Amino acid sequence: MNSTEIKTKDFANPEKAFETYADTVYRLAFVRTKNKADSDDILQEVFLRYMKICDKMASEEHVKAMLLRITVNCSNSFKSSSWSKKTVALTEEVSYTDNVNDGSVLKAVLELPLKYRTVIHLHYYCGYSVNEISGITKINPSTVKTHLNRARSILKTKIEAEDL
Amino acid sequence: MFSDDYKNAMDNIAPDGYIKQKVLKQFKKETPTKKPNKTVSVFKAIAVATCCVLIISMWAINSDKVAEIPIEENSHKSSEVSKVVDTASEAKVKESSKTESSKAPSKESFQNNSSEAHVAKTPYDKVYLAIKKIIDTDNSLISKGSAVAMGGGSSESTPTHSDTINQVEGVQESDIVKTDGKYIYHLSRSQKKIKIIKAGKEAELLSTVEYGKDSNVNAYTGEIYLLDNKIVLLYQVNIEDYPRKAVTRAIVYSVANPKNPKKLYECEQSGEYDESRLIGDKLYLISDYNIMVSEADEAKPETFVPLVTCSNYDSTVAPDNILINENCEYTKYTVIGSYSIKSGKMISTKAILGGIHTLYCSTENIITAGYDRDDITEITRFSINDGKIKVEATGEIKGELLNQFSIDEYKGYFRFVTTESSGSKTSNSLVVLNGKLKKISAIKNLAPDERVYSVNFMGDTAYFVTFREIDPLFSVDLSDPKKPKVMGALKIPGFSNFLFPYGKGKLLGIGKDADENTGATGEVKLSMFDISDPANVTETAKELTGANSSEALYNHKALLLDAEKNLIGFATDYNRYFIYEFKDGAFSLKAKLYMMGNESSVRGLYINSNFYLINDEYLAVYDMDTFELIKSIELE
Repeated sequence: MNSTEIKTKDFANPEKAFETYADTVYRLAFVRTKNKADSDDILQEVFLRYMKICDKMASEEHVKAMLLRITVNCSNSFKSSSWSKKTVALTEEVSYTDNVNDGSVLKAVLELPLKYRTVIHLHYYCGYSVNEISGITKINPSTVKTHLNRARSILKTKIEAEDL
Repeated sequence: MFSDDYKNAMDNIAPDGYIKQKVLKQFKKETPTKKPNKTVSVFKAIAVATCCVLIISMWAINSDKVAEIPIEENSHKSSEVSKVVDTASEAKVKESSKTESSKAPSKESFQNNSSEAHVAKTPYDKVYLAIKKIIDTDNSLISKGSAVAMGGGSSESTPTHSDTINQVEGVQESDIVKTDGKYIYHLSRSQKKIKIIKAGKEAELLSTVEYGKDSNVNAYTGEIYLLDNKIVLLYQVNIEDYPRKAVTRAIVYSVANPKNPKKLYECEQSGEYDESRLIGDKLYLISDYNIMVSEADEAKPETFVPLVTCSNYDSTVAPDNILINENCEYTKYTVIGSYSIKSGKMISTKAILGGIHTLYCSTENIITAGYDRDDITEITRFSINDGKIKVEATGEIKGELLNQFSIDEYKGYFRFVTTESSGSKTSNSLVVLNGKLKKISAIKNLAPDERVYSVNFMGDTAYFVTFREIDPLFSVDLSDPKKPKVMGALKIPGFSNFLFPYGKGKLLGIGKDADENTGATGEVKLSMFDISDPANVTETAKELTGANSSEALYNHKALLLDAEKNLIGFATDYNRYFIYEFKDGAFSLKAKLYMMGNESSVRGLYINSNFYLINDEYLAVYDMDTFELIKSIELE
């Protein structure tokens, strides 16, 4: 059964979802694994898994949140393979950015522990609130708040910014 | 701005074209068969995945010693507020205030009048100044009967039925499903509907209430209470997506005629929905309000002060009702509003500038806890009396609190279990404060390099579980008999996320198992502890469920617990719902049910001799003894 036979509502269609959210999924995977190769694999895996459940999506917002939740789950099992490549990953990431200012902000975030950089990314890049982050990461809201607070205070020692 | 820089950096990160092509190709191929999902998360280094169950005896706290804690009359509110602000101005300024942006809006906002002499414009003057201080400087900073109320409501006339787990008896907590034994009321977040279902073998959907049709309802929020033929609906409406601007709405419906629910009242307060409690007919609603700093206009308090809208009030929270945390560092408020469900009127509001992290509510007090980056938690005690909220005391403790279960009120004393961090090192403490929030006693340095995972206070005894993340070594301090001391410690693999009493002399834990050598967490696990002798606690039974995840691990409302009926129920991955009983010293699986439909929160409940499973799309009715499916209805 291929995708054209699956009866999916328009917004949930896997190809359309991919066009809209491939970058979003990739970026979260990258923040979590700090590794381009793993992020490529996760991108594939996420949409593979999504295809199996795309007919159960209730809304556009649901699609995005679901994709991110699957990304979080997928990037858990990739954690072990990334550790040994930690230093390599940082060098890879620096090559993405020519602007030194951007590079140091990204570097500071990537240096945070996994749980912290995940919530920072979901909050500052994806714009999710504490409750929404809780739904995506399956961490309870109080803990999400702790992670955000701690992450901000660590970041503030590295970056000057008024919105931290 | 960090968010702008971060966004710019992220925009440069994207998958290569060839990877995109590869993925697009797979959409054209056949859908592969379902592979089992191995979600075993590996901990960072070699870890001994043991946890320590600590049992603290509250010997120092006994009925002989406790005297009435006199409650001082509050001095006039505005002078208290100004006193706090003055102290804040003496706080250290860590770095130069380079954080001032060079924007020049025409109105007087926070950004451009730092050095000018300040002229009072409104009664919110002091509040405005305090907010400015947070932005300008870099401050360093911030039970009565704790038996968990679970198991059913029952009386001669009404049927026996299960209920949401409440931390404190008499203080109701909201959830997505409620029942009075005759009807089941279910809130479907994804559909923004409340469904009213007649319970029983002939279960039937009677009516549906749609809410928030014209607004952008946040689909992760939405909970209800049931009180005397009324439903109280709470949800969040997103006004702006980024930066997040939201309001929290409470709507009361009459369900005296379940086929024809009627809307009675509506109230709204600024901010994202955080928590709520229902005591008697008084609703306490808590929201988190982020200040839109760039929109703030000193002459217009409604741009930087939370609003409350109700039949009898439609304005900003009064300046006397705004507390300014000494070490607050975030430009946000936590708003606590109390409302009468009977009249739909607002009774009292308080707003805490700086925001809070956790809160605890007993029948007489609300304890709020705000956490700052110096690893200090600022505590505020509010007395609540028939909806009237009054500030009674403030204090602080070191470390952070895990969740509402880390706080307890008992005989006028307030007990806390905290995890303190210093760099990457952690340790855990139990602290006792009096009614004025002054420290009476503490046990510190428990289970170093572990952190608290679950807590349960039971009168004179406290139980909590810690879990190790990094190195395998830990030691437990024993202190003096006149002070609270550790009575027993038990090392077992894995950890519990929640601890609840389960009948006499027993404590149930729900959490996860872990590999002793690698620290990898594994299956959802149930533990039964024998606490009949607190000095000698043992784990009498353990059950590995075979499930990888469950909402009950992070949301206690998702757990069905009834010691009397001997029922432990929870949903897990793969659409399963497990029901266990504890018999002859062991867990035994009564039923493993499968829930159909969309992935959404599943709840299990019982009414008389029927068991129900409900989610956004289906209701299934089972016989409580055989768990044979009696009926299943679609709830669209």
